[in-house]
Amino acid sequence: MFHRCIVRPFSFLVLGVAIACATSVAGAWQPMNSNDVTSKSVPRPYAGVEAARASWVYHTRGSDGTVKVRRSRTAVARDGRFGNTEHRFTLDRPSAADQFPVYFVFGDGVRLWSAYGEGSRYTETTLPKLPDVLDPAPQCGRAPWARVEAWLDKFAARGIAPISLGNGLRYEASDIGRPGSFALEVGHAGEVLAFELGIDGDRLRWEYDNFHEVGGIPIPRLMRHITIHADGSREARNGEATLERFERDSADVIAGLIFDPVLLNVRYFDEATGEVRSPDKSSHLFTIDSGGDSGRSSGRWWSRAWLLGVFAAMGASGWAAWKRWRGAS
Amino acid sequence: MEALAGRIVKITTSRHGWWIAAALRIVVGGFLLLAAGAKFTLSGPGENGAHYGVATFAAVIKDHKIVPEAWAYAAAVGSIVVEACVGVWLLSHVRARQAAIVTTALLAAFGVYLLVAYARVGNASCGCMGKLNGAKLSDALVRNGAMIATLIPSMIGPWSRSHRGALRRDTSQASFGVA
Repeated sequence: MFHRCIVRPFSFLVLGVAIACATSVAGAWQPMNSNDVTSKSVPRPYAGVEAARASWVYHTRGSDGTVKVRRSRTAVARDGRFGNTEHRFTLDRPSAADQFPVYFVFGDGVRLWSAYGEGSRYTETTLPKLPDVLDPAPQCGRAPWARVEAWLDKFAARGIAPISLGNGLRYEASDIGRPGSFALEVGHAGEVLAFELGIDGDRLRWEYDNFHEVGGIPIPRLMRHITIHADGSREARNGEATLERFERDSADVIAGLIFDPVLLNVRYFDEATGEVRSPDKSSHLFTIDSGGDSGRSSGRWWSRAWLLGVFAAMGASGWAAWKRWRGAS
Repeated sequence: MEALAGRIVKITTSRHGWWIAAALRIVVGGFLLLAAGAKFTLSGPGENGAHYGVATFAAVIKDHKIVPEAWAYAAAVGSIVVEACVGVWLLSHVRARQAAIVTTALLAAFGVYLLVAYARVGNASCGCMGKLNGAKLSDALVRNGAMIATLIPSMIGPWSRSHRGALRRDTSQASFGVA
């Protein structure tokens, strides 16, 4: 009775668990050791998305107060719908100009325009010859899809086999044409899940989430930017929006990009005076502080003032409460 | 155990109770004002490019896919204004108990919103604190729970009234009892 009711069912249970474990281990083991999964066999939903890559110039004021000209690279999708927005430096404190959000970036295959809602720059650049390195420009964070195809090609050209993840594949390379390492993670449908840049022991990781299809292309709506320091500590900026502003209608986008900086209210940086001016040059908006302080902070002085206001209100409230309490006692 | 209970009763009935509740209200009120201000100065890509403030928060609300897109901006403005008003009310100590109840209801409503958003889009950004803090929806839920707990003392009878008010009431009740 005991054997029939207790032992026999449990022996089946144990056997079932053992089979399940063996199957899952074998399933997990097989792709990790097989080299038949290459970059070429991965679906390429972003094929042909990139229309141009370009270097472009912008101005920052260094810690010594001098204006520096910096170059950055950007990837632009065909018809200008997808462009990157973010450029940041990981080895240095972000400059004032680095912190300005991009208004738009648009390339027509020959030229590139970029403009900033808050910042110092409006640039029109003739596209240079493209660099031939596996360059994971960190500024692709907001719109990595324009680079995924090229990255996969680079991995394929190097014969790098992916490592299987639960939800996709991971490619890694260390010789990337700049110090550090680079990793790309794509899902089973080829969608970009994450990319990672290793610099000086730190790892900068961009993760993507909340996919939706635009013209058959899986575009993530949200980005998480995670910095994993060498000591294992993490900093994360979660759930930031990726660039979606040009996804609606190509015709409208193109029509809207007949460039009119006045209409777009683009500021520009006057290198001679160190001032940021409005397009018609009539008004001085703010001066980028010397000493590498944030230009935004001087232009948006109230961004600090309101904070002081909140603390003042709390202090006043505390004082009022104390008076009332003393009056009552 | 009895001693501990006695001490708790002593604290809740003491005149320090009101002061503790007031301090907690200041914390929550200040936090709500901070959240409203942070949203108002939020930077990032909004609907038609880089924006500050409400438009960016509206874009975050759109991403949550709960409020219809056409209402996202109004919802953003509304939540910022309501948050600021409730924060000021808490800081004013005027009708403290009612302020605490209204704030708790507001935080509970936000909590429901956050739960629904979590179910729809996963653990995305809540946008609650602008750029001051890139909290996820789950973080915001925990934070709202903590704020509700912080307001409980203000809703407790003896703690919601100043000592003078409590004394007056006790005296009137006593005299009613004698009569």
